[in-house]
Formats: sequence, C-alpha cells, structure tokens
Amino acid sequence: MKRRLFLKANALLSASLVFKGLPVTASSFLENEMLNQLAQASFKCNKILVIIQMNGGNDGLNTIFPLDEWSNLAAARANILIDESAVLKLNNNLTTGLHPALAEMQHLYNDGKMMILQGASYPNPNYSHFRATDIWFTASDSNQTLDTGWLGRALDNAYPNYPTGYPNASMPDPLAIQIGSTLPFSLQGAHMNLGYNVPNPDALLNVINGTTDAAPSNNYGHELTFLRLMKDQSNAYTTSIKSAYNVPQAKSATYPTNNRLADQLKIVAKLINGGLQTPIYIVNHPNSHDSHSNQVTEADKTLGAQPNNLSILSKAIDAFQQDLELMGKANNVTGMTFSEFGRRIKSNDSLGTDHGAGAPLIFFGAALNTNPKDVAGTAYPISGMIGSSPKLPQNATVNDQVPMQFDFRQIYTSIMQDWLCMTEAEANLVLGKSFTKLPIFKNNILSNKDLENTENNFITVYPNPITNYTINIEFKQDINAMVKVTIYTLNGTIVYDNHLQVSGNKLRFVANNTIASSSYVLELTYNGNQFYKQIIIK
Amino acid sequence: MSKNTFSRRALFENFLKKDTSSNDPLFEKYAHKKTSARNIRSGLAAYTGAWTVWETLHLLRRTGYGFTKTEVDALHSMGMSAAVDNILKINNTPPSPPVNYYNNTLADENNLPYGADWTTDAFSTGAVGRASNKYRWQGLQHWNLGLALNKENNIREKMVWFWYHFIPVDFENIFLSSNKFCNTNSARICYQYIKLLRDNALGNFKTIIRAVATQPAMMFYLNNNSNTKTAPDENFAREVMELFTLGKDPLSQYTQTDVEQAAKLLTGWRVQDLNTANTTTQFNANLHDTSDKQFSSFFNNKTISNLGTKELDAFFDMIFSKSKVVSEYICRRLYRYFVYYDIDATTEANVIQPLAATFVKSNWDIVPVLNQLFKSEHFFDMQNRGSYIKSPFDLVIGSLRAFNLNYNVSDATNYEAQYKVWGYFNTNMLTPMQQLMGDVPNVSGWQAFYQKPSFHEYWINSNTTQNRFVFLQNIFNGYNINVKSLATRIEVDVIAFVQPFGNVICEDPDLLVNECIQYLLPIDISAILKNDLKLETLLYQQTTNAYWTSAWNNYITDPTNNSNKMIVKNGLKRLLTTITQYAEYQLM
Repeated sequence: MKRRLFLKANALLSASLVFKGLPVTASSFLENEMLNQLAQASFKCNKILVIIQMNGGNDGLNTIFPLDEWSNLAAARANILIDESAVLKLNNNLTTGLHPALAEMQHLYNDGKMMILQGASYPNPNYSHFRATDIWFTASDSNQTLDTGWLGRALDNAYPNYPTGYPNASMPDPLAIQIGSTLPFSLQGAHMNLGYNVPNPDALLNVINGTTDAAPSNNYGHELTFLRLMKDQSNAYTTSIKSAYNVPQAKSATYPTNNRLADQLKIVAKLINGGLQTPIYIVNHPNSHDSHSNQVTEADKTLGAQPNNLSILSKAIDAFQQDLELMGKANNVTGMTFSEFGRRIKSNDSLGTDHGAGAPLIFFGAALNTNPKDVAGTAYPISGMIGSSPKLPQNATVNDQVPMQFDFRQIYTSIMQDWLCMTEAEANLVLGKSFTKLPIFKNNILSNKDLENTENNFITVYPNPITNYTINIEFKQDINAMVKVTIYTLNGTIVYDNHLQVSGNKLRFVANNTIASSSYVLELTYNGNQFYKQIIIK
Repeated sequence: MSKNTFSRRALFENFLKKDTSSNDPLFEKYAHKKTSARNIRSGLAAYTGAWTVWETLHLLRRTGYGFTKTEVDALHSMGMSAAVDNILKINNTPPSPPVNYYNNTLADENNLPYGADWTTDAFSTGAVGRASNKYRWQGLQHWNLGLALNKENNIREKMVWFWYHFIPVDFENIFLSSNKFCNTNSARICYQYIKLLRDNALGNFKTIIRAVATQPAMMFYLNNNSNTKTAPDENFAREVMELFTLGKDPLSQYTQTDVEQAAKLLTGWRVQDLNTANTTTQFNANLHDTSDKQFSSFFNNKTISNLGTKELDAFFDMIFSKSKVVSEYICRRLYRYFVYYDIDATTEANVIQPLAATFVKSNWDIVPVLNQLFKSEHFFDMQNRGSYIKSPFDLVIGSLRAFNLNYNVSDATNYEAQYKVWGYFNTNMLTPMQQLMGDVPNVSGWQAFYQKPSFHEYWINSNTTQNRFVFLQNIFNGYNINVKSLATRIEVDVIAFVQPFGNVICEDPDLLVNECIQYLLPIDISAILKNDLKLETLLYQQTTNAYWTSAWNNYITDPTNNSNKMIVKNGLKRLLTTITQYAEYQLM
C-alpha cells in the first residue's frame, strides 16, 4: 500500500516528463492531462498475459499427441514417434495425450490449469520463419504486411499518446516487458514500440540491483559505464521495476536450475508479486525449435533436442504457476505459448520434421475455462481443450499439413475481450476485422472475485438499490485519494468506469443513465486494492 | 562566469537553460567517477599503424558529423596522411545565404520577396521589422544546421562550431539587446558573425579574434558598444582574456588591473548604421579614453599610449606576446573538442605543449596544428578511441547523415518546407538534448567543453539521456513532418543503409552484423554479442544463417515483392535499432 502512494507522488514529480525540452514538475496542466488519459485507459482489469515464444516452429504433433489418430501418425513418422504407451494421459480427454517430457504439465492439465487449443493457424499459411513470425506478431492476413504489432495496437488503443505523460499515477509501470535484447514486433505501435526491454535475465537483475556489466578499464570503458548507468537509471520505469522486484515474497516456488526459461519466468513472477501493473510480459524459450534433423535421438525417441525443449518448458511453467499460487495472484495471470508454425505431419529421413502449418497452442493459469461442468454441452465439451485432434491422412505425403481449426486472431480477440477487458469494438479495431471469440477464459468475472473479502466492509454503498443512477459510497475512514470505480454486469461486461477524487470518507457520483435496470458488481480500486459490492440499479 | 547584462527575458531564458545536471541526482551519483587513469603515453609522432575503415571512421567522426559511406570510401582509399590533408582542405566559397522562408506565415515587413536573401536587407526605422527579424535569426539557426547536414568531406562545418562554441554570441540575446535597432536587425549581424567564422574556419586565430573584437554581434553580446570612458564596461575586456585567448590556467596571471586597462583601451568603438545594409563598427575618438593604459607585470608592465584605432592591434599584439599561455590554452580547447577532455600531465607534456609550439611557430595559423594532431599516433591511439561522448550535434547530425534521412526536402525551392524541416530537427531533436546552433547558455559556451570535472559528461543527465534514445527510436519507427502541401518522411531506410556494403556482406548475417557494428560503434564488440545480435535480430532466433541469406536473395531477386521486402526490412530494423540503442552508440 505504501509503495503505491509513494509511486503516485513520485510519478507526478518525475523529472523525466519533458515538454518542449523543459523538465516539468507537478503542475495543474500535467494533472489535467493525466486525468484525461485516465479517462481513456482501458487495460484496467489488472489482468496479466505472459507470452512464451517458442521460436523456430515447435513440432505440435510431438508435443500434444492425437491418440485417436495414432495409426496415421505412426505411418507418417515412424522414425521419430515414441511408443504409444509412453504418452501421458489426460483426465476427461481420451483423444489426447502429452509428450512424456511434459510431466508437470500433465498435472496442470489434470488440475484444470492448462488448456490445449488445437489447430491454430491462418488461411494460406506461410512457411518462412520470418514471414510467419511477422504474421503472428502483426495479426495480418497471410498476404498482407502490416507495420505494427497486434499488442502494440492494443496498447496504443488503451494508452493513447504514450509515451507523452507516462509514467503516471494511473499507469506507473511499463506497458509491456520483454525479456530479450530486441523489442518484439508484436509490441510495435504506430509511433513507437510499446515494450520495455531487458536484454537478458542477468541484465534485468542488473537494472534491478543497480549494477552493470564490466566495461574495459580505460577511458572508453569509463564513459561507457557512465552512459549505461545513466541510460538504465534514468529510465522512467527503473524505480517502479526495482521497487516491485524488491517486494518480499512470503513463500516462493523452487525454480529448476539450468533452465533459462525458468530464469525469465522467475523474474516475471517477482515483478507480478511486487504489484507491477504491466499487463503484458513476453519471454523467449531459450532454444530454437527448428528441428529439421535429430529432433529426437534414434536410441530413445522420447529424448533429444525437441523433448529437451519441452522439458524446459514444462518445468519452467510448473514452477511459475506454483509461484503465482503461493503469492495469491494465480487468478490474475494467464500464460500462452506460441510458435510461428507447427511442423510437417510426415517426418524426414534425418530424424526431424520440416516447416509446417497448424499447431496446438497451450494456455496455462487458474482463470481458464476448464471446469467440466461449465463446458459440458457446449461446442467444446472436453474440459481443457478447444478443438479436436488434427485429422491426419492415412498415408501422409510431404505436402500434407496439420489443418487449421482456428484462426490465431480468434485467440487474440478472446484475449483482448475476455482477459484484457477491451470491448469488442476495440478488439475489432486492433485486428482490422471481427473474429469469433473462443471460450478460453472463465466467463463469469465474479468467480475471480472474492466477494466475501474480509476487507469488504471497508466500503458501503447506499442506498442499494440505487435510484437515479446516483451512487453514494462511504469509506470506513477518510481517504482523500483518487479511486477507480468500475461497474460490471454479472457477465463481466463493463458498463461504467471512471477515476474519481474522494475528499474525506464519502463519494457521490452519477453513473451513465443508459445502464439497464439490473444487478451489477461495483469494483472500487483504492491504493492497489479492490473492493467489491453487489449493487442493484433501478 | 560572465557578467552579461541580460534583459529580463534573456535572464529568464538563461535560468531555464541553466545546467540541469547539477540538480540531477543521477548525474551526481554517476558522473566523473573515474575508475582508471588516462594511461596514454603516445605523443605527436606520425601515426604509422593500420589504416582500416575503423581508423577512417574515427577521423571522420571526430572531424565531421557522423559519416556517409561515400566519405568513408573516399578517405579510406587515399591513406591516412592524404585523408587528413583532404579533411583540412576546404573550399572557402561562402554558401548561399539564408533566405526568406517565412513569407507564407508572415509577410516580410520590408516586402522582401519569398526566397530572397535577407542578409543585406535592413529595417530602417527600428519600429518595423521585429517579427521578420525574429524569423530571420531563427532561420539562421536552421540554415546553419542545413549546412552541417550537407557538409562536404572536410572539417569546415565542425570548425565553424569550434570557433562558435569558443567565442560565442547568443542570437536571442542580441535580438533582445536594448539598442533600438537590434530588435529589427539582429539577424543580419549574427549572420555576419557566423560568416566571419565560416570564412575563417581554417584561418589564423589572431586574425579571427581581432575581427571578432569589432564584430557588431560581439559588440552587443559583450556590451563593448556601451563601453565609455566615464562608465567603462569591462565585459568584453575580461572575457577576451579569460575565455578567448589567455584562459585561466595557472600560467595565465593577468590581473583585475589588466581588465580595467583593457576596458579603457576598448572605449570608443561603436556599431554604426545598424539600420542600413552597411552596418560596421567604427572608432569614435570622442568616446575613447586617451589616457595611458598601464598593464601589469604579467605583460611586462607594458604601457599602451593613445594610438586611436591602433590601440586595439597593440592590445592583441601584447596578448599574443604571451604566446605560450595563449597557444597552450587554445590547444587544450582544441584537444577537448576533438580528442578527449582529460588532460593529464603526460598528455600535457606529450601533446599540448608540442602542439602549442607548432601553433606559435605557425604564427597562429590553425591548419598546421590540426594537421599535426590528426596525423599523430596520439589521435589514433586505441586509448582515445570511443572515449568521446557524442555532443548532441554529433549524435543528431551524425545519425541523420549516416542513415541518410530526408533532411533536404524533395523540392529545393520550397524554402518554407526546407527551413521548417531543419527547424524541426533544431526544436525536437537538438533542443531536448541541450545544444542548439546560435544558442549558448552563456559566454563560456557549452559547459561540456570547458567545465571541470565532468566535461563531456555534462551532456548527459536524466532528461537528455532518455531524449537521446527516444530520438534514435523515433527515426527508425518513422514519422512525417508536414509543411502544408509537402510531407517529408523521417524514417531510416534500413535496406538502403546496408545495400552499399554489397551483396556478399548483406546476404551473410555474420558479415552483415560485423559490418554494421564497424560503421556504427567506435570499438568492436565481442563475437558472442555479435552472434546473439544476429540470432535475435536477423534470424528471429533461428540458428540457420541460410534463412537470412535466402530472405536477402529473395528480396534482391524481386525487390518489388512487398512481402520479401518486409522480411528483410524488419530484420534490418531490429538489427539497427538494437545497435543504436546500445550505450556504445553514444560514444565516438
């Protein structure tokens, strides 16, 4: 709590805000500008997306196995296929199994914390790494080239005018954090890349600990060190990242060693634990998945380069998920893996596979729509899986590909609308057209919110039912602060959202008179904490 | 340092421009934390080491602004000695003067036509012309930037700004001077001042400083125009010794009496005809203090008796008779501008003193000094490579030139668009980094070149650091500068940047990374880092070089295929943005 107050004050006084070349300290102009932006910000539901890029095109058919297509699979890739008995089984899903290197993920799946999305691709897939990656990053059509990334556009939409006026009290933290030396194209906005990049985990630790790599011991090295320190330390986000990183964690998970993906996710976890409001994190699997040859060993097909990659992934995600649960943030974080394409159904003679098309995507987290009761009777009745096993031809040739079941932009629009709280119209604007959502996330936002929160009596809403759209909130104590009030339908749609100034212990405001008479949930954010009240608007 | 009589506006401006570093806790924390001594022994013996592209770029960056591939190729092919000769061989033809670019915004108050040279067009009444004059002197700033951007393959523009930073006048300060014609005519005398410096870019220092003393712009900037025998103004008298010739190093022992005597000697000079095209500074005997000027023992108790206009020449003869003091001071200033700021005892003995001796021997011609310095093993010593923090001019002008951005608009006769594009760079790039042509914090110039203990590090504070990296990010992300009908796109053409390296290099990602590093960073980086850079940028984290090779060749085979082009463009953009975001890119 203290930290947020500190940051708020600090952001207003930040010398990094510059207008026309002059440093600007707190002024009414700035505050108004800030309020202006607050009113427009829309990534406001405190949800976090962690994207794990598996560069090179992971072999989906050697990751998620279609047990119901086994004989066709065996015919197509006998030289690399593991024994069917080695496949890890999944609860309530007879058609699908996991590679034995994914033992931890089997547990996650069986606990309802993992979801498989089958056959993600796009029409007329491209088999060039570069082009396919750009298509995934920009969310373009196969024959279209775009200059901006889908997340960049989404963030542009949510944080207009960035970086002017940022960081600010409403968004004191980076919009997106990438661990890697190059900001990904996916975060490219219309005017700038919206990510904050950290060359590698060590360098992020350097930023956090205020040290830097050794430079040569001469005048060049001296000036280089000076410049590096000034660059890192003058970055407007250094303070917030450092503060978040240093928030103690009562209990943390044990991360695997010698696992560069786990190293990155551990840092992400610490930043999430520290309350960083950054909604997007991007990490890179450390190894290439471009397994044209020797993707498995001849002696033991459960081992080799690609199974090793899977093991790194599984162990890292498992530790990360445990960590999120220990810190009580699991409900706010969803992870997604993606690769620019899958690989060919038919293996080649070098114990490898060539560039392919569709592939399964893996989601992980506690907010996934995996409850068997919730999915029963829906279009995707298998809990933990959207879509079905890829249909494989009886005698696959080199030209056969894993068919598309879902356009990857259906995933993007689902994330934007159901996870990052953007409206359908905003998501359509980002993608340039409308795509059908997929039920990836638990659809009732209330299930994520602890309405029995013991601190809930911190606020009282009166009278309730509410008349004339006039809402009165009384606080247990004087707060004299800016709060955020969001009103959701019981399905999680936002009908009101605003930042309001509270003087004393009472707040009175009028909501938009277009709100239909019904039950709603009022969420009040104060000092980084959320308080909820069920309200009825008459 | 100076006792300028600022107008209220100028005072306010000066307050705003005041060094922000001293209030910046980060700067306080990190600046001037020397971890190592200079450790450089080399002197002025001629450099005989390798002459590769690395050395060529070192010479080019230090004596110009950035580089163009054409410049590098030309100098590299001729060898070190000829390359330095070439850098020091300038065409003294004055560039065509600045013009009326502003007429569409504000019709010139003398009805000077759009596109016409204003440098000989005076406002006669003092009441009319203030608005036009303001556009003119601001245009002069833009024009100067344009000349630096379009510089020839020699040192001229870098020298103009050496003389300027060392003997500056502030355009706005003169505009705001209380003289009744300055408001409407300051642009012309500022132009004359810069013209003097450019015409003498590789001239004789004594000639320059003698001419500066009676330049109308300097007469107003340091108040000698108000210096009278009844109320002496010591401003110019002091600065000409303290800042422009003798300096304040230990051997410089002039006294306050010398300043007072010099002020007496400098009485009588007045700017005439400021409201006509024939503005000059004339000597008015009636205003001159005719008493003897008795100087201190530092000047061997020299007395200068009444000699009228000749007193000023006698004064400079006396100052330059302290040749050791003057030459060493100027050589230190040159050293800090071209080499590095830290002058230890070894460098003082091995470089400054012999260089100063050359200066005296050349009778104050600057070329032999620069020639000796730039051909020396000291200049090319690895200990001097990469240690220089780029000034904002170096960073901005250098980057705009190296990446061949559209700094010249497509229609050369569209003066309005052209000056506004240059003005855009001045306002949005250089100003946020705290260096602007014609605009100095005070008479000492930019503190990065003179202020102990941190010198070049004063360019860097919390604000300017971020502004530098944002500038670099922006030129790769691209944007338009729109002036009415003409849109000028500012975006690095990353393909055009690498294409001159040739296909053999471009298609091989290892060679390509290597080549880009060589051109963009002052010191080579490790093979490991280069490999990482290749994987993360050109190869999208794939380990197969052939992917890049085929992408490049697909582009070369069919450059009109947009998809092929975007693949190559995106890879190169990642590579070049990553390199330019390294702290190393801020060094040269």
